[in-house]
Amino acid sequence: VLIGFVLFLSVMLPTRFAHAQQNDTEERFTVRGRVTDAQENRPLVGATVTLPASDRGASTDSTGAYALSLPPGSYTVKYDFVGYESETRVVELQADRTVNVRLSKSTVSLDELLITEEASERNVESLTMGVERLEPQSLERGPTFLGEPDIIRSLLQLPGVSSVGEGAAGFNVRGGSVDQNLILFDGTAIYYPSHLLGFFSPFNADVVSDVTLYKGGIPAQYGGRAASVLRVEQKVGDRDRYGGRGGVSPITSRLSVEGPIVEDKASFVLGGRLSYVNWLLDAVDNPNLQRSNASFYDANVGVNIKPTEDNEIDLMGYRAYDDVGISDTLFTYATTNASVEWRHLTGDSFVTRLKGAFSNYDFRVRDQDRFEAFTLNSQIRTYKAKAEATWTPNDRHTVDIGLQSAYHEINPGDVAPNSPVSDVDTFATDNEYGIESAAYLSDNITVTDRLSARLGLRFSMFNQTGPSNTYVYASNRPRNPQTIIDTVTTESGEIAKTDYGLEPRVSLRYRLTDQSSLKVGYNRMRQYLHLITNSTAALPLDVWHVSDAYRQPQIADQVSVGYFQNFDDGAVITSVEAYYKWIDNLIDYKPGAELLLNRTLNADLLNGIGRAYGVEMFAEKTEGQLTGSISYTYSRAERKVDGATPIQRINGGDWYPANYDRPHEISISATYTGDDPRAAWNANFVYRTGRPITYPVSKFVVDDRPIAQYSSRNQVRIPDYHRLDLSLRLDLERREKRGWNASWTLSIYNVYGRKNAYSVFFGRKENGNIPQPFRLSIFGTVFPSLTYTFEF
Amino acid sequence: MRSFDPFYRIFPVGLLLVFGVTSGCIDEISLDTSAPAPPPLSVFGSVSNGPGPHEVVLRRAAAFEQSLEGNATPITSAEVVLVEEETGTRATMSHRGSGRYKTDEGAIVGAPGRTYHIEIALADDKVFRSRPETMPEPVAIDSLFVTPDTTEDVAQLEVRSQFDDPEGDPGYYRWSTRATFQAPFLPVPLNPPYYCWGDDGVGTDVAVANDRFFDGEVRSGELVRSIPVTEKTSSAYQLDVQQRTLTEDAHQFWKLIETQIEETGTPFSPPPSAIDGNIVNVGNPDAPAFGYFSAVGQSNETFCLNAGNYPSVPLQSYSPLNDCGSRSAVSTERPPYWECSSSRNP
Repeated sequence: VLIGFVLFLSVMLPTRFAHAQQNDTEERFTVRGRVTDAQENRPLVGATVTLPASDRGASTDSTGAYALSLPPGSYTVKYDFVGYESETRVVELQADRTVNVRLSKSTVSLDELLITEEASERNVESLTMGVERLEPQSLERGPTFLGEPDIIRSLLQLPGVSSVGEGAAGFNVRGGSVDQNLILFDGTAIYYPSHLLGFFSPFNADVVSDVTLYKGGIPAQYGGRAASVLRVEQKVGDRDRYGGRGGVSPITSRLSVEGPIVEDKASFVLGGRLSYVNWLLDAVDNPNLQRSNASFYDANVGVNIKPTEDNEIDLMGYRAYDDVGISDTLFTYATTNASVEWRHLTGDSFVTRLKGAFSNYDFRVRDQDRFEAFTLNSQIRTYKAKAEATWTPNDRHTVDIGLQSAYHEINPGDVAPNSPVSDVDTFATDNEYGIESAAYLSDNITVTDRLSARLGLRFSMFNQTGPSNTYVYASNRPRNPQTIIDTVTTESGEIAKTDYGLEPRVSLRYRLTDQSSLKVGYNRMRQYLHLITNSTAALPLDVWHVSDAYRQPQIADQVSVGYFQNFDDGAVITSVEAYYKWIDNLIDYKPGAELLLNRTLNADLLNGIGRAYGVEMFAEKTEGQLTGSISYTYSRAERKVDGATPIQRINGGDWYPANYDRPHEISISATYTGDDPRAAWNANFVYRTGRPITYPVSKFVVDDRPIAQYSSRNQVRIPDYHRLDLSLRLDLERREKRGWNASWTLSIYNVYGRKNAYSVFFGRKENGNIPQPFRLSIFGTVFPSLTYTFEF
Repeated sequence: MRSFDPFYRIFPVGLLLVFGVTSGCIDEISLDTSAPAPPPLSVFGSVSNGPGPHEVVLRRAAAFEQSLEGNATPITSAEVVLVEEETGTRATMSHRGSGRYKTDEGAIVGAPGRTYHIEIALADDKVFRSRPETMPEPVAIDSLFVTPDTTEDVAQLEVRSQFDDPEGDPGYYRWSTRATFQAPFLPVPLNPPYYCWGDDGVGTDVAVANDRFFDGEVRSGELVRSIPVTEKTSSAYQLDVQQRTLTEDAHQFWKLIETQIEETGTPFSPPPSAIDGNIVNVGNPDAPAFGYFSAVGQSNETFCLNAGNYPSVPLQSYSPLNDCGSRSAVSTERPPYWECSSSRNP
């Protein structure tokens, strides 16, 4: 209530105060408008609008809108967005004016880096910390594995983002687990962000227009995951002309086309990607591999309709499918998403957005083994609706308000025999249902020329709905099937359990000088869906579950502080950010927990808490023939599970490092563009501390078999990880006649062929032996590749 | 139905192979760990329904980096007592060699529903005690049968148990086996034919199950043991099966042992973990012994295996043992429990 009141005041009072000030001092007028992509007409979010002659400036909001209030006069206004040509306009301001600007993409290889943390002005100017932007058109110069530009692999170069191993699915942000990242593709949830287990990201870079990762300072419109938000936007088709992009690499090909449906009114984009790994498997002299197959595809479709200047409708569809066969067992998993959004502009200051979104993730395992032939299915499905608005009443406020609701339907797993002689019984766990809702209000406030704030408040609620059967366990004993004392049945349409809470979000920026600023932030996140996984790396067969009587919502509180300094008018930008995070209601697992097809799953789960803290240092040279960045991150991620009885504790109830705790990380990236701008050399280097593992300390003989006894959890580390990649991109001459623009990229992944440990595991050389430590290096050699990319 | 864990692992392992083999990188490494803790005591044993003798084995463990040979030292001078808590009956378990301690037959007649523990006093005055276990009801084996598996390099005969799982009981099972093979023995002169008998060990499977998928049903086909088709199965082969019902804690312990034995170890596997048993160090609860002392409901069944009954399995040719008497674990003396006869004459 208090925060709400403060928010209300912050919206109302400064406005009145500002008007009062205006009356008392001098007359002011507002220049406002929208900054859009010239080709796609898509709003450019976070573009900067500056007056080079003064230190005044603004950045565009989520609809591309901006506003600046100035005394009457003549101004030169500069519009910048990373990857786009800057535009400058002279504005005679004798009354309120609207200036809409369309920026064009830079046509030659860009000078900026693969990963631009923020445009240089935004480094100091922007309110937010912990926000990373990725430019899809420069992905090809990033770390490509077998020539495939990869958004998630590029994210792993960023400070504060790591994973348990190269090629593992998902990523960890500031000490969060892989399920704590909200991954939105055009606003639809992605539940398993990987093809072929982590080797390829699920996004076709050619149909992506914008990638933003919020590690902290998460805006109030996002919620539902504890650690981060990754927003990937699908591009809007060109309304004026037909065109396309594509690429051919050794094991994948991709193609996208776009163009007008009705000139200036409607456009489409279509994209597809296909893998052909099997020739590689057949080429290896190994009968097991030759009997295996692996393939994936993904397809994107987008339609944009702009019937009038004030109305716009976006339709989006996405399908990703993986199919892997090993011996008698076939695994398939697929994501099917779709959304429709209507945006309406009222006047110059009010944008309304209505959106409906659908996400579906399912996997199927089919075993053809005669006596044990079975089919296993699992699925999560989400229907989401939201109504949002952005109001820019004056140049000091941008207010976002919205309502969101999502209905989740989960089949945690069912299995049935698929041959008449199969010994497998039909078995299913109960479906789970829940409604996740939220309301939010947030205001970007320019308090003074030096001080800006974003105050946001989100209220979220989760209702676990029926039909459901909840086992009630005796409260004073460890949960196990024998301590079930009751079963509570909830009928369809009834509510089994409700959780709710406030999620305050605060960001403050104080400009110390033109070139430096200090920022602080706080955010609380609540997570109501949990990925139940006990493997080191996430699997496509892991199952999401709703919060219920025993799985409490995960709650993360993060405070962060940062110092941002530019040098030489933004030619060099630097930042230091520090954060500390507390996480409640983490889920951990009893040793030997059964996670699939378990009706008493809650008996195998443990409740814990977590803490994560770190410092991220970043420097980037943004201009000149040689550009590049260097970052160093110190971070820790720890957990504590201290239940009432020994079986409910891990490591005796002490803090222990999480599987993805990697304290030191160094990332260096450099791009050199010589006198001929068509050739760009790129180098990436990354170093990370090895992740912790549990190791054997002694061995015993049990029934004539040697058995190892292990240490307490995660007490030693696997060897450190480091890798260098090089690439050369050559843009061929544009053949104007056909409008064909092509390039070759030669990339070398893991240049010095280091056998980085993907994992150290304890395996047996043969039956009856004690487990021995083995190092598995998936990418343990040099991977050169040549990719042909074209655009027309 | 089998547990779903194994296939849960197939997928990633296979796919890792797909890429791992192409870049070809699995090496054994040495791990730099801190100095190992002094090897603790290991305790394994059980009390079952019936007169016994009930047995427990005491040994010292070896540090992980050491060779196991000669380090799993039997403990021979401990004082061990089995206690039936309801009646207060205490039965001394005396050392019978190789760290094996046994009660006298009939000293305690194990009964389902009663609670048992053991007390161990070592020569260095350390005292250990097992957490009490209440004996579950035994579940009788209805029958044992074989399914041949010819997909492996060496064909396997999978011995499976059929039983009637009682509804509502805890429903935790473990199978132990003793395998004995009979081999034709051809001394000079060739007549008359002789046999000798050998011990085929405990096998590689730790067979545990719970009735999550078959509570209250007739369970047909729970794997007891896989027997590779070799010269040992070419004549007669006897499997003595003990079907044991366990408490939940004991099942959890053996399940973790089974997981460790079967675990291939990949980043997609659950991380390995310390296995906690039920042996408490009375003077120092932070330094427990490794192992488990169970109260089990036990039913026994003997199964005679004849590889010739399974046409899909390639029959091994005879390899008459000419040196029966000189082989270890092979004897020309017929074991007293031997019940099977050869279907084929040498």
